[in-house]
Amino acid sequence: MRTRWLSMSVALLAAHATASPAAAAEVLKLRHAATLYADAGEVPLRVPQGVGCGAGDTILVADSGNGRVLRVEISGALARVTGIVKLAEIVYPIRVDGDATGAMVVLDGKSRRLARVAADGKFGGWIEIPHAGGTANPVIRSFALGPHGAVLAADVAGRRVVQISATGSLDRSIALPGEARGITDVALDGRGSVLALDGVGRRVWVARPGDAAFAPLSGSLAEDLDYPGALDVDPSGRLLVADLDGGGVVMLGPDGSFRGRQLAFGSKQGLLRYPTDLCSTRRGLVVIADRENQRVQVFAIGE
Amino acid sequence: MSSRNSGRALAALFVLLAAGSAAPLRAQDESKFHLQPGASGKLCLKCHTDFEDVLRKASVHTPVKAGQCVSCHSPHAADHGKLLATSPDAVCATCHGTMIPAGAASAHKPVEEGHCVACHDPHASSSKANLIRAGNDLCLGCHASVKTSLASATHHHTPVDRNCLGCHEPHASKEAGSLLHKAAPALCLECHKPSQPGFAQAHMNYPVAKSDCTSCHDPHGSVNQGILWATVHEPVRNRKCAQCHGDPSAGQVTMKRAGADLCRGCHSNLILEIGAKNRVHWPVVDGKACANCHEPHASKTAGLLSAPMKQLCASCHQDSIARQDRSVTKHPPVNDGECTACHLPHASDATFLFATTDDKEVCGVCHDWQGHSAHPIGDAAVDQRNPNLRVSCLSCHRSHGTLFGHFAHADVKGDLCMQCHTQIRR
Repeated sequence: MRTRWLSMSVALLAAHATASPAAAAEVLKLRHAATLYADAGEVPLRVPQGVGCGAGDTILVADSGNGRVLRVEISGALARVTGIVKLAEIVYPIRVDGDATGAMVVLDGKSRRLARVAADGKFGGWIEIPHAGGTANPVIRSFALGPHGAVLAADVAGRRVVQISATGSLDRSIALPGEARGITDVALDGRGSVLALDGVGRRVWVARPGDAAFAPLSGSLAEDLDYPGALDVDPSGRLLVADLDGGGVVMLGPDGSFRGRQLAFGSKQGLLRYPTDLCSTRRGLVVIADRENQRVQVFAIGE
Repeated sequence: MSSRNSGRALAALFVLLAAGSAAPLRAQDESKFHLQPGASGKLCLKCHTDFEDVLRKASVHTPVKAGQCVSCHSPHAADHGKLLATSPDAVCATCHGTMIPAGAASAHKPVEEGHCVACHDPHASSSKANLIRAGNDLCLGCHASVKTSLASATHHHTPVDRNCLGCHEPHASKEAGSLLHKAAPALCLECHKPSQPGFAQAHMNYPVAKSDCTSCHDPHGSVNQGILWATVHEPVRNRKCAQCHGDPSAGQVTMKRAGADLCRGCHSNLILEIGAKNRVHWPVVDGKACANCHEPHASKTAGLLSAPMKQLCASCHQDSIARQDRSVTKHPPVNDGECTACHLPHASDATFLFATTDDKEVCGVCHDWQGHSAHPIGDAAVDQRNPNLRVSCLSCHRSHGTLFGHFAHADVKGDLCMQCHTQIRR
């Protein structure tokens, strides 16, 4: 009997050893790397709500309470503000992202509109989004940048996600399903699929290229998180979800399946209180807007 | 024959069949328990003499009448109270099967739980179907809120006074929620004919025959004319439907404007206040806007809320309410569903839609935090865990609850204080 158990155990261990490399690639560990508390003039961050990682080696921070956007460089354990953009038009920036040229798109939480900001920090105009048939003015809850300057915007008034080209044309409109009860974020994965995060329904929806409508990517995530507030797809294709009320980051596989949870609720360095946005860099960093801790934290991804 | 009548005929047939099958059952029991021939329930009555009165009641349960005590009871020993042969929640189903049809839209909770004795006396009763009380008294024994509203109603719905079963099924409804025979408006239209002039006049000629009547009317009665719910939107009360709706002659109910744009006409000050704030409650500005939380015509809840506040807020913020449910210490405003005691429902400049960015002021409405303890609190007290934070109520407490007393973030005797006071950690 013992011999049989021993041989079974050896077989299981061998199977585990074979499966480990693939499994390891799916498992995410976040190690605290740096924290941004203030700008170079020691002005502390206030209610930072948005972060963007699309601008090359510079990350962008929507410092909402101070009504400004910060350009930040991360070097080892040091996060340093290298530029400040404060515009009269954008009163309360809540989401931001940019491109390698330094240009950025900012979502103003007060007007719920998207603005383009040039690399030199000048206001580049509002992004006009056509009305959905018969509805009130578009109300933008979140956005993601697509290729060639395109912007994907979640219009909660029109219950749709729209794709606006760099020239301002409406290239695509994907209706949100009736079951989607409170979209909190949108993202684009490496295969061009549009992902929509349903904060109230606690699930992820997907519209693959050419799809006219969203379909569920994941089942209910109610067992895995409290209130999903933000979504990002890391360079490996993993979905990172900020658990706003739960104070943590939940990792999903490309198919929406639960893969793990990192970080916890708290005020000490490395802990989160109401993380409202997150993004990942090509250098393997995850940047999190740690709103109620009035800071931005940077974590290194470890496999 | 209507479906209800055919149901009654089937039930009668079932009773007849059950009575007919009692004789072989009796023989079975006699053999099973080696009873003297013909003894059966008569044997039980030798001791249970009070059953002679029971048997004289108007409605006697068929097995009792047939002397089949052992249909439900085990005469020698049992694993269940009252010597029941099976568990109390299953014993009735041994003969009656399930009373809930497959795919039922709603079911009565006692029926789901097999708690048949909540309504039926298992032996006999003076009311038909062995009901423990007759008529509405039985239902109102549990449904206290309906009883209260019926008592205070000045405008009654006649069928309610007659019998709850005029509209509700006692066990389950295959077709509709709330145990209704049919969903509104089909149920209501059985009595209220839209073709009658009075109906059209009462509804200002709007084609409401396909609308849910209970969105405006309290089917159990009300203090308002037309049995409208307790809180009525002013234009409805004043019969000024055209303030919001297009001309009814088009044959359909149309809105003059969409979403919050419609409400803006009267509630412009509120809409302006919302627009002036940095942070908005997102449902206020989505496609449904005000109608996410408010009923446009009438509601049983103050502020025309579409449900009591705790239920309404929990429909999106279910995790926050669940946290309170799990919490060791309850926070009364959360527990009692008074969400607006701390949060503004529409917009604010502060996070959590607090009225102010200083959480001490929010808590200070109820709690004298200055007398709370000698612990420094306020702008001069830097949180040792984070240089950007000042010590405030939320530094130590989480108002929706935690697994620790006083909804502290951590155990007060252990980790909570040590998070800052690391120098005294042993």
